[in-house]
Amino acid sequence: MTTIQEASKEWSHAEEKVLVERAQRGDREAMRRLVDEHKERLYSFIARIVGHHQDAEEICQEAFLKAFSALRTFSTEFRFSTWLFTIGYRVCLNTMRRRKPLSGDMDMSAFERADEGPQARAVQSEEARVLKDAVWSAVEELTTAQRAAVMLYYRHEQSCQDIARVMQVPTATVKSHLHRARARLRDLLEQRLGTKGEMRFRMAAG
Amino acid sequence: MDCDQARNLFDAFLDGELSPSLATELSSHRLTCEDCRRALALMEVVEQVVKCDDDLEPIGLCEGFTDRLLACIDQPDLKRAPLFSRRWLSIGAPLAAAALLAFFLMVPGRGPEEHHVLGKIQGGEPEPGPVVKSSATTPNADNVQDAWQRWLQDLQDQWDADRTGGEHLRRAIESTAQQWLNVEADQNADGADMADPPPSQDSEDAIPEGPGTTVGR
Repeated sequence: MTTIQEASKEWSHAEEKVLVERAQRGDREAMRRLVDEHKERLYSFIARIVGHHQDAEEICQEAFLKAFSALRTFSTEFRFSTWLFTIGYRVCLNTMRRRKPLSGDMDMSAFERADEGPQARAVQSEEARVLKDAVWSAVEELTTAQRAAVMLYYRHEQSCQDIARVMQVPTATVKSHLHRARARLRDLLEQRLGTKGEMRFRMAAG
Repeated sequence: MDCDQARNLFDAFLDGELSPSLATELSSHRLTCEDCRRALALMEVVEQVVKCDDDLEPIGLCEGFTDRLLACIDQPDLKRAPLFSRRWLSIGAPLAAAALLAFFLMVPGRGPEEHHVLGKIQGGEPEPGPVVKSSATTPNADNVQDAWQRWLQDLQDQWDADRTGGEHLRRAIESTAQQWLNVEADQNADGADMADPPPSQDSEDAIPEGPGTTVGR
């Protein structure tokens, strides 16, 4: 019996397939819907990978342009979103190769919370905020492949098989990336949060 | 279960891939081992933060992203008429040939000189076109005139079949060719025979720009 979530995914794939086929025939409205459907998620993923929001927008645009220019060769048997993320990831890597290594060079200003004012901030749990900052800071220290795997797996809820398609590596490699990322994150957080880490987790969880 | 065994199961446990019995065993170990409890808690928090935290979202896409993207796809140059259509082949190729011919047959026996080639026609008067420096060393004015005559005749034959599109171009090119002939004749102090004057040079149409209309840039 298909769960609601699985049914939702199946329906989405069917609808996406129709849109893609229309776009392949030059339907501009279908293209617009495909862009609007995926642009925020793709941008969010790319932004976390490259760590620079201006580059992320350019990469996002380039990924869509490449996808549409090759759309006629795309088989609707596969998920358009997976294919789009694959292209986006490759463009990320190409862009980053032209730049210096990310460690210490990431423009994280785009990721800082907008100043909502002292009152709003006071309402939020200070411990939770510290914990979140520590987590994202640790994520930034992962390798590009590990960070991509973590983002796709947790935030975009992709399966290891889909992540393997996006990153164009074997599924076992994806699992290896996740395994190493988890170990690395664990070590980094233990260093930053110290022995009080567990207490903070409990407070953050409410 | 010891800590080493437990740590080997962390990934599968976090991914929900452990069998119920192993998951229960790991959970029991977790209750009694502070190190393993903290390690698993750290990973569960990471999962929750990465998955659900919207407070630290990066600055969103600029407004109008979709419109700009679709505009890039719809760039006019992608819909431009193909360069090598039949019409332009019938007109552009002879023009290109004329330009090459003019370039290589310029003023024999001299050093680099300046010549105007394929001028534009405006208000009935030909204007000089781009300046081309030439170091061609060949033949005399007679050969140049013969070559031009033959070329013009070929062009005439082609355009007889389609006067509508090529008429003004024909006149313009003939006019330009005549300029060449006049220049060659003037330079020939022996008074060699000149080619028959071409048809009327009057033309009020400018040469439309297309492949092969300019030379030597």
